[in-house]
Amino acid sequence: MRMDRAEKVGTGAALLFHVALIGAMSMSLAHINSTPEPPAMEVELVEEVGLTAAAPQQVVVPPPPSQAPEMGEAEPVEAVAPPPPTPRPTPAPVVKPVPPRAAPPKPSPVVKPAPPRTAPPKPTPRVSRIGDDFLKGISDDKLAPRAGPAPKPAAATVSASAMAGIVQAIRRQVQPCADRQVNPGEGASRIKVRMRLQLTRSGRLRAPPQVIGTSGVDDENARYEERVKDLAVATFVGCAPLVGLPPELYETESGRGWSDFIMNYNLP
Amino acid sequence: MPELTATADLMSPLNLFLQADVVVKAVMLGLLLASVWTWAIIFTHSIRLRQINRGTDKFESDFWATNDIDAFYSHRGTDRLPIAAVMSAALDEWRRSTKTKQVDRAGTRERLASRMNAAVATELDRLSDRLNILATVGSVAPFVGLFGTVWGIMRSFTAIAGANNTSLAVVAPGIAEALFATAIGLFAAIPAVIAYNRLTHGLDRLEAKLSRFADRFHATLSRELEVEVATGH
Repeated sequence: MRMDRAEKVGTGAALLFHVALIGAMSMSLAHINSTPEPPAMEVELVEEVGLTAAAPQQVVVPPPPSQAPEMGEAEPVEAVAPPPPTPRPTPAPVVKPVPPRAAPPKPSPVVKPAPPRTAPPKPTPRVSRIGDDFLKGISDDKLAPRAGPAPKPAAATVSASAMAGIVQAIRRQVQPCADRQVNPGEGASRIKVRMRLQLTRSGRLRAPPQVIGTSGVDDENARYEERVKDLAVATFVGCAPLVGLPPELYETESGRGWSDFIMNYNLP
Repeated sequence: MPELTATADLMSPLNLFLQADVVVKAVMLGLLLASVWTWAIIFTHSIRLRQINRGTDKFESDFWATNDIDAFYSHRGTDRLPIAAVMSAALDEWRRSTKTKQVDRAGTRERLASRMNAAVATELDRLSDRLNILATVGSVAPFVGLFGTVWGIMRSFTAIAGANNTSLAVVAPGIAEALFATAIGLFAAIPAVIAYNRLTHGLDRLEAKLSRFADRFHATLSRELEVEVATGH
């Protein structure tokens, strides 16, 4: 009975020990002080985002072929290559039957291949140092202007920031004319007119500004709508030659550019 | 996978257990049971060994102090002590061997020695029962825990692949709960190995003590045998 008691005591103690350990770990021992989170960073949402590559496309111009005479030694390949077709096939059949039948002529195979190798280089002028016409390539190039592409490559597309810059530039130039317009009545400044400007490369209007649409028209200012449209056209016509716009963005491959441009106008 | 937030009670053993996979849960439960069993054996054997050592010392001093071995045997021979069993075996053999008229001294000595050795071996065999469990737990539990960890980490990597997210908040809880399996395995194994070595050492000492007692008692009985034969019992 004593041994059984020892067993019972031991098992009970082990169970108690484990329960106490798990309890202690659950309660407090396993607590980890969580570090406070760092303060959140301020993030600004930017609307002008260029979603497409706006870098000007590289126009690959192959270099014009060299027209100047080559300097230095003539290439050995050219000298060696021509002879094999003609002289080689003929000496070989002739030479080969000769050595087996006549034993002594050992020097003959050595001598015979030699002439064809030395002979061909002679006709081609090996002396290709600087010739009389070494300026030929340069003068040619200068005289005949290259039929290359336009000096300034067109940009692939207009980035959002570049577009914003163009809008700013146009707005700045149009501002004096816009300031001159008289506000026809209350609420008229809420009307926004979408204008289509068609410009030439020099900044002139190719066609009179077109009104595409209006927004912000309500009951109160509906009667001023036509008047505001006229004022918008007058503003752009009055300050017509728009200068200082970036020429590389006049037309782009994606079709956007300030050659055909849409602007919003509203009264100050 | 449940939504996990990195709070303090995330690390509590109960939470770690509840969030784990079935296989990992089974591993954890098994290891916990092994740990409980290990500690039960440790406590039981430590208590027993201490009682037996104390009892043996007292028994031995009493035994050598007594003048009447027969009375001592009838009084203390039924003690639940290994040394009492050894003494009982020796006296039993002695009585049987000296019952006859013609006493074979050499044979009696041999029988006494073998009976006492057998008694020591029997007692030690009984005492060392279940120590092999400690050895097994000590060597296997880390591997079982490691298996649970590997399984849990595999599972949490699968979860990462499913979530398409490798942030620490996704990875960490799964790995923590997986590592918990190894922690339990080591928790079960380390005490088991230590206790196995300690208890084996204690049993070795007890065996040495019993052997010494047996040898000494054997010498005494042997001497007594000569005296009794000489007096013509």
